[in-house]
Amino acid sequence: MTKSNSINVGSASKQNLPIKNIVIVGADVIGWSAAVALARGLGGQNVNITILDTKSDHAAPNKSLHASEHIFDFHRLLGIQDKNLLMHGHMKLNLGAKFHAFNRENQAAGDFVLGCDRAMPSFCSIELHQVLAWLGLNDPEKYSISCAAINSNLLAIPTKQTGTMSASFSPSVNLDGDAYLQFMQGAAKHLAIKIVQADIKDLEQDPENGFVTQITLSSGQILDVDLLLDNSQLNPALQVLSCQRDYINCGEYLPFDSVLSGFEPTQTAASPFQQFYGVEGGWIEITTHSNLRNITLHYSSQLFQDEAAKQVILSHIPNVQGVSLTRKIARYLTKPLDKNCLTIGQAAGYLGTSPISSLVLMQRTLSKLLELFPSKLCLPQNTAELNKRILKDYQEALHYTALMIPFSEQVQENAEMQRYSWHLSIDQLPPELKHKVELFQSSGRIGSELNPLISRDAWLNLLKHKVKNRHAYEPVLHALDKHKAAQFIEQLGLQIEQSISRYRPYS
Amino acid sequence: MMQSANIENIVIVGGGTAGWMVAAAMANRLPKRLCNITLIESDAIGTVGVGESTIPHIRQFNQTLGIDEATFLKETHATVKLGIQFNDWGAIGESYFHPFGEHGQITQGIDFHQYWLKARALGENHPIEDYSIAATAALARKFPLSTQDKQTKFADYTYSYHIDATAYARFLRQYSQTRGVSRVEGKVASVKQHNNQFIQSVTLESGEEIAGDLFIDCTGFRALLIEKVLDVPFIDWSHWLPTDTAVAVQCDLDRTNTTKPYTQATARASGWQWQIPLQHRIGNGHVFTSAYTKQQDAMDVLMNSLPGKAIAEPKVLRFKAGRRQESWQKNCVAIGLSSGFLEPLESTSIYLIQQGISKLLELFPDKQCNQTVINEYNQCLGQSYELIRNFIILHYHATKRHDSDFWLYCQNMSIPEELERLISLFSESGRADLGQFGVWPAVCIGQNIMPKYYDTRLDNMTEATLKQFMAGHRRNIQDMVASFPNATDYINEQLAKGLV
Ligand SMILES: Cc1cc2nc3c(=O)[nH]c(=O)nc-3n(C[C@H](O)[C@H](O)[C@H](O)COP(=O)(O)OP(=O)(O)OC[C@H]3O[C@@H](n4cnc5c(N)ncnc54)[C@H](O)[C@@H]3O)c2cc1C
Repeated sequence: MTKSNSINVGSASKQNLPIKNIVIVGADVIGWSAAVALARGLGGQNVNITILDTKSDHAAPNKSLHASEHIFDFHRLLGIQDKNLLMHGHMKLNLGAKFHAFNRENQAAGDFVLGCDRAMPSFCSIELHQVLAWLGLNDPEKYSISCAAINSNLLAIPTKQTGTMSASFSPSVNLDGDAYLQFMQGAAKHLAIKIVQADIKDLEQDPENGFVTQITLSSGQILDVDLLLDNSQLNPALQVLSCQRDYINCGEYLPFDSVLSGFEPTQTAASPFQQFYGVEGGWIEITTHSNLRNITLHYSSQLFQDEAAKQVILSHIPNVQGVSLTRKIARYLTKPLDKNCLTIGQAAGYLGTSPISSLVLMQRTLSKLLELFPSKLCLPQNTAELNKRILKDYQEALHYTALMIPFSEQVQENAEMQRYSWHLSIDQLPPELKHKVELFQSSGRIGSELNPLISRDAWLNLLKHKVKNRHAYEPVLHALDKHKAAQFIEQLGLQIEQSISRYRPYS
Repeated sequence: MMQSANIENIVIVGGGTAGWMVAAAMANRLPKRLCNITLIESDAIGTVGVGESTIPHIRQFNQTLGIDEATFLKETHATVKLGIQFNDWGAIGESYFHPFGEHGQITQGIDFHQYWLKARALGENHPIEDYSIAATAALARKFPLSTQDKQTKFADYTYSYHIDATAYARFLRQYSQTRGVSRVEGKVASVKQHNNQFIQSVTLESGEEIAGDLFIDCTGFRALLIEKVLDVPFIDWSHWLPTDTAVAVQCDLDRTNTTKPYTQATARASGWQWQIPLQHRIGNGHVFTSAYTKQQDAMDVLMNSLPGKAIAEPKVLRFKAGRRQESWQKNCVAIGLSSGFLEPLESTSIYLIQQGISKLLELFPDKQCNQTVINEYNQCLGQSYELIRNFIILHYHATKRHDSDFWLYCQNMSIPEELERLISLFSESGRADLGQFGVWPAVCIGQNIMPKYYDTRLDNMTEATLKQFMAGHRRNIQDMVASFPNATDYINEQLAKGLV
């Protein structure tokens, strides 16, 4: 009976009351965006949202943030106009990535381009990649508008144009880290989000259930807490919070425990894609903004000395500045929400910076939190359901990254072809991912997806580049007119060329 | 690329609902030049002849096949269905409605049933049905004019049909035959296999041998190929779903009354009874558990509660709940009753046939039938079966009935872990898992699984505002439903359209 919202816990009776005081620890871009998302998502609720840190922000000058297309959904929730961000140059569209030297086989020619096509055209309702395989056309990039744009270093902008065969596509973005932070801070101001600058002196915990109830600051001030968002890996002064936490370690798949990053001011135009280079100890990611180029080397400390890593960076960008090293283990928390504390940001999980950024994972975590918003009691079943949904994202992100970076088809076929010791063979992949690859190998099929973090098209895009060794194509094709199919493909190629001629470089 | 040879001949064994749905979908989707499709059916054996209540997905099936509603209503003597009314399930004397479509709308990011729970805690006692367009319309025997699924400001709704199973198979047979499917009448007497156990051909009693590359086993409970030939085991779920027999009979319909646009499922001492109105008759059946009730007693219960005069001899059907461990093995795919059986409580069998068909077409094989593709198919189908299984068990388990050993057994039986989790999630905070089958809040609340807590965010809403909000909702839905025609008029109007 839903008589009243009260429960008996032990001897004391606890009321199941709404959450009133939310404290977010850690004022970087993740913390501020989380605050804005909560304030928006809880509009009309009687909540106080406070950000706590020793400083009011963690500006990260000369750093760009990559975020997948989900950022647009998040902005919609927040009522943010993407146009504004784009106009001011705080956000740049990104059509995909160019991969260099990831496979030995492809050393000379075959670097590949990963586009962002969605809803690819089909021939007699058979998917394009199947038709290409049938016709023996091994150059899928030619028939992908985003790949074609990347190859000509042009920015393609999605239009709602109808009547064209060429596919639609869904760009990700590169954000100017500082500008985005300021933008969120601006939004926070209008939403009455408080910022408190202080060290944490002490935490008060409920002796019965271990919930954090109060935070005492070095200034003596006391903050009441109903729900705590812990983004504190950022600041050692706040780390009293990170008690014992269980992580799922992903080092087996992503052994890159060191991140060396730097930047170079440039005069060149922004490029609408990222560049990835495979190297001995790991891989390099380069993002070019209008006035800035960011470089990051993700490597395994087992495979590279830090000094050697620095040399690798220098060999790519001789004038690199502000080089800094961090150590991060690829892993994610088993219980993101534990008691009344939700961990967000990199302490919740880290799976490399691209393609699924911490920003996007945090955003999706918050949407799920709002769907299953807890009460003061943080009821256990609700918490378990929330954690289950969040973990699904991390697992999916791990699979996608493992396929994108370390997976190499060559490894199993011929050990000599193996280029890097961090390459993974199909048998070394997590079982669900292995099945996905095998299914694609067997017939070019993609399994049914349940998690919208990575769309079916995004999987298809990646699989068709990483899995070349296909055994078969769609058998129904045999009944179709090969000549017509070839004409269709030729038309498509022409249309894409025409579209490309309308695109401009990023300026 | 090592493309293996194409499937050139598909042989469907069985011409019940499953067989003809497969044939029709394949004739529609596969290019004619690709392969020949042959369907074998035995008039001597016949079909199960039941399976008349459906869920909204059937409309998608019709749409893909290009079958318009007027033709469909006419050919299958169908009526419309907005959900299922469950009588005496949670307790004797109680009734609830499982509608097609959620109650209310998510408002301010909070599920509507949370508002209802809070209103209830404040002493309001309007049933949750009052906030469902489908339920409100159904119980008033009304039907929305627009046949599109509607997303209104107040609630979503959608609908399906009650169909004459025999007429449906006949209709699809005609559809398939005009699109090139060959029909062979005869009884399969023996089966030949290749060395690798792939099925090579089936031989009819007449001696005719029919060879194929891909065999679809639609032989119903007989499971001629998948079980008798390939020996694929059956996973028995009867400890969770113990009903094992049905007596079914058709009766007259009082044509002066408006058709009920819903299926009725009334719980009985050791099972339940269905009522499915068609244009020209009503289908009735009593599903029971032979360990708890004698067949004659079950028959008496049925015959004594018919809403009209019986117009046929009652039929007895026996079954066991469970599914085939692998619906697809070698070059044989079992679709329909041969691949598993979940009792008809939520009218899901035809839907599972559809699932089997669309997965098979999506993963259409070559002659080799790659094992990874087979695994993918079996995994997907297995998941669908389990989702629905858990949902049906919920109806039996969540009851306060203690009038018979059967209900006591159901209450006390251990249930699948996943279902346990889903029930505790709902009973704690009214939350439902994503991707579940059916409208969970309707069934949980209907069966008295009342969440201990509502969403506390609603405590920031004043009592007056909430009550006003709820009253507004009810009023809007009532006004809307008042403008709908009655269900029979709707059907007649469609039929008249078909004649033009
Ligand atoms: C009591 C009951 C109620 C039901 N209610 C519903 C419902 O409301 N909604 C719903 O969706 N589903 C319902 N179902 C399920 C539904 O009836 C079936 O899913 C549907 O009819 C499909 O059956 P089928 O085609 O697999 O088998 P069948 O109808 O049994 O067809 C089998 C076919 O195989 C042929 N055959 C068998 N052996 C041979 C042989 N040796 N040689 C040649 N041919 C052979 C037969 O002649 C027949 O054509 C119900 C089932 C039962 C038992």
